[in-house]
Amino acid sequence: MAYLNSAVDVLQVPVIGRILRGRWGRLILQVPLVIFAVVLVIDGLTGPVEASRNLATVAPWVHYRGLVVLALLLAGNLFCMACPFTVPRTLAKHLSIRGKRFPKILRNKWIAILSLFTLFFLYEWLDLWASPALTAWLIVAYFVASFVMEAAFTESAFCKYVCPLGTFNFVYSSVSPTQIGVKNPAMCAACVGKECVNGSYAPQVAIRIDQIPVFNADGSSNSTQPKEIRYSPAGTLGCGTELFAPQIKSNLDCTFCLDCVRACPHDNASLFIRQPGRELTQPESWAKRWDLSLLVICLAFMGVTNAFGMVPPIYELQAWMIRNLGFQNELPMLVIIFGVGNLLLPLVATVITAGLSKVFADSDFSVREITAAFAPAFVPVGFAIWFAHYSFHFLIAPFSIFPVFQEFLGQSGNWAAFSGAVDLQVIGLLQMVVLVGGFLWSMVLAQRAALRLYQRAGLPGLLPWALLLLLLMLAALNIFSMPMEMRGTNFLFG
Amino acid sequence: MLLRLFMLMLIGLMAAGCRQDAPATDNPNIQIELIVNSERIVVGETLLFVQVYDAEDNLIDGAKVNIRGDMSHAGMTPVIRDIETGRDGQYETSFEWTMAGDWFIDVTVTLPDGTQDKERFEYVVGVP
Repeated sequence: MAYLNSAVDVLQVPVIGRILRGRWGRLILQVPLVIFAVVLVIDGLTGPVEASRNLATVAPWVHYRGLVVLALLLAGNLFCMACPFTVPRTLAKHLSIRGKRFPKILRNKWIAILSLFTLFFLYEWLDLWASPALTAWLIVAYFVASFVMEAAFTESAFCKYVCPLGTFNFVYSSVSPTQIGVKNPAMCAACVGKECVNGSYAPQVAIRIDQIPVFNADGSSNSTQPKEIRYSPAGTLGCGTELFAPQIKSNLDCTFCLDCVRACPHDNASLFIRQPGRELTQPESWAKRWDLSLLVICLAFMGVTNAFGMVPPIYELQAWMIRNLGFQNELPMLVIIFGVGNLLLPLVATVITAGLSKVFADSDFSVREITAAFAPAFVPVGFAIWFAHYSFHFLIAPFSIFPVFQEFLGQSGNWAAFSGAVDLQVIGLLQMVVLVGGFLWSMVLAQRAALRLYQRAGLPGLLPWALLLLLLMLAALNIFSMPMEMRGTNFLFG
Repeated sequence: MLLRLFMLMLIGLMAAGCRQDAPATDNPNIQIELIVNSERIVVGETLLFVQVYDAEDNLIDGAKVNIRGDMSHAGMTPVIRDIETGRDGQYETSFEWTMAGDWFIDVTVTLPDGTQDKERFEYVVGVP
């Protein structure tokens, strides 16, 4: 089944559905976050330099990340839906109606991989977790980059090809229980303007009369009726990431902005409840491209490397590099650690694993096709690694944002009232359950991929991938079983 | 709509002006020493001793001492202790290093006459 049409239409839920479908539905969600982003920038640049007392560091690095993974698991890509960075973008997009398209050579996920790598690298190198001012500048940079790219190009190039936060959400919203779909694909086939992707916005009012099929109860149609299709300045811009609603097979690249729903003149597009991870079991959901496959696999490895940056062995490794390789500062060491862990290792491991799988299964499929078939299996284990990490930071001080906000407002922070935390042993148990659960889900997906691809030679073809998934899970489990140690690394150089 | 958005942002900017600076700063007439009762500072419970001196190096009794331990990164709840009793200018409290890593301890001393001083002490806490 290519299109999605489930029994439960989220946008039919009273009040919530009406608000979300409304013209200002997205802006209602975005405005509070824009205000909050402005507050973070202000506090980051003018507030206390201590990260634990500043909203600019507490909100993004503790609460945002914890809530995002929870939302992805339980609801969907809610952060992209309410993304504050796209508010100025909307203005920029109006400016770029006749602009250029993003260069074809860059219309892939290579930049997204690099931007994710860069964000995680900067996080460690600049100790963003300990610097309110740098975090504030990062937020400003997001606003500027989003605005500039949307002003320069017609589509939402920043969201689709660059934004590391969006890329993270795109990949892991594939486990989410919601997805955009259509009520009746036959209506989309008959639709003239395809407003869900082309938009219903026009600088001046324009009206077109379409002949729309009238559907019988059994879905057949033997008559049409005229329908007035209105384009106006009050219209919607259509899908920024250029997804055509009836052809959406995956949450990948969907920002959940619901512009397709608002633009559709036939009220045919909507947000549906679906089986979590639906697209991961369907081989046609994702394009068989190296950039896409490596994005998913690299992101899982990045989860391990990112967590590795917060346990004692990284300091031992850096001390060893100083002693034996003569490094004088942190930059080259982090380039090596992150370059190997986040890019080189997943690349080499993927090529070797796919090669072994091909040989063991005696398959005619190319290494690219084999990698593309198994890449979705890295989503659950990768998500589990990130979930285990981010939920730790969130659960260890879930209410810390309240006293920090009190202090921002000039009051005395009531730390005693908001010092509640989940017990470390409970968090450890949760991490283990999540990691093992994610691994088992990944194994089910890998097994299905192997049987689909290799049929009777499925088991030998599966073995290399199963081993890689197991190693990834065990590495994460080992890291999360260690005590956390959060240090700036200047101490290494006295 | 953009105008409304701008107004809301302006409210945010105004709210930023509410944050108060730390009331206590370095007071040359008061010296504060912080002693950690362990050879190697590791995660777990320990005892902290604060000694308060006047300008002539005499120990001061009767002060109120507030200790606030924060980690350098965001998200850890601070460890806050108030000590209202002390003998011979020495103030003692239990304290828990809740995670390994970079810590800074702010000690704020308020003398009976209301004079205040604040000192910061930095530690690297290891794993046990």
